[in-house]
Amino acid sequence: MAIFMACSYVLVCLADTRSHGGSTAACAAAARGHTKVLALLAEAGADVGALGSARLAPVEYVLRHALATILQPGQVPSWQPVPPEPRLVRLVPPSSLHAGAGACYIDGGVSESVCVALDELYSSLPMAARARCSQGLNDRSYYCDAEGWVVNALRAAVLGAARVSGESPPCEGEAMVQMRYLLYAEAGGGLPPHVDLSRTRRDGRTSKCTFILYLTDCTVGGETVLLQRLAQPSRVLAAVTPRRGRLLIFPHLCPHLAREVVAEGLPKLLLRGEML
Amino acid sequence: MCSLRRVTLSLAAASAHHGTLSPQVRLEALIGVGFDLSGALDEYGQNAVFLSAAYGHSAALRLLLRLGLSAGECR
Repeated sequence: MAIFMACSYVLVCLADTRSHGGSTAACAAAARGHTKVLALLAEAGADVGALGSARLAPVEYVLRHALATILQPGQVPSWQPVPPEPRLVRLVPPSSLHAGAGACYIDGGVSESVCVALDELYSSLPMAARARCSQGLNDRSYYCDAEGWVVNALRAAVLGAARVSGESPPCEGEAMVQMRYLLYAEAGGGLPPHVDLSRTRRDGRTSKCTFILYLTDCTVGGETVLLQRLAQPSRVLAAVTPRRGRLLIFPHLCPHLAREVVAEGLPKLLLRGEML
Repeated sequence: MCSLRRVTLSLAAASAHHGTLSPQVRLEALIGVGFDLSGALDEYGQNAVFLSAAYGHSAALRLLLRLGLSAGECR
């Protein structure tokens, strides 16, 4: 009997395992429409009522998927947060031959409620050890948006800004689920000129752009600077001041740097990732 | 986590559809040679069970649950 109880405990624990940020296996499966997997987890004793990182239970995701199959496309409610008044500011003309063509930032596309949820998420994540000397004076926390709520919010911001401004962002606005927070808490933290790597999804699609969502204001210092070229000295194409809720999007191959943060601008917190 | 473990997790739990072997065969082979799949987490805190569930690999998930891996990472 004791052995049976111990085995049951192990199975329940496995099924209820959570990723960083509080997503459960059941929520991740339900959010992606894997109902067969959800049934398996429930059979193994998973708590299918437990809320995930988006504060939703698996049943809510199942209902959303069910509604999408029943209703006509135009009748399906939008589960994405509606951006209030997104404004797209172009930094490099789309017609430019520069690697940064189309770079822009969007203000008002990510609501304060989403920023608050991202703050709460950040506070729940473990901080990764500083692994590389090229990392600079910043700390990183990794998050995989298995339930898709952050991806949805970013997509809504990009599509909303494109609709309102009539301009196209440099990418589709579909963020990769793997993201990381960067925290600059010490004066002097910054990054030298560099370009970013792309990320390839399991379906074979490769990201084109980097996104940076600033979660704090920097009154002085801490700007993200887009450069004409990697070799220094280089002409500055644009310097973007960190503002809470500001979403910066630029092609991976656009040379850029992070200006050093100064004491008055601390802390600088941002969410960074890749977009298709 | 060392990169070998990350590769192992990725191969075993999430990328089964890219190979010619079924996820069960991969998982059984990895467990057979002594990989500790229960303790391995990627940088996002996801273990083999979570990845199998998130990517809809029901066969791999069934196997992992049947094997009853260690509950050490439970929170």
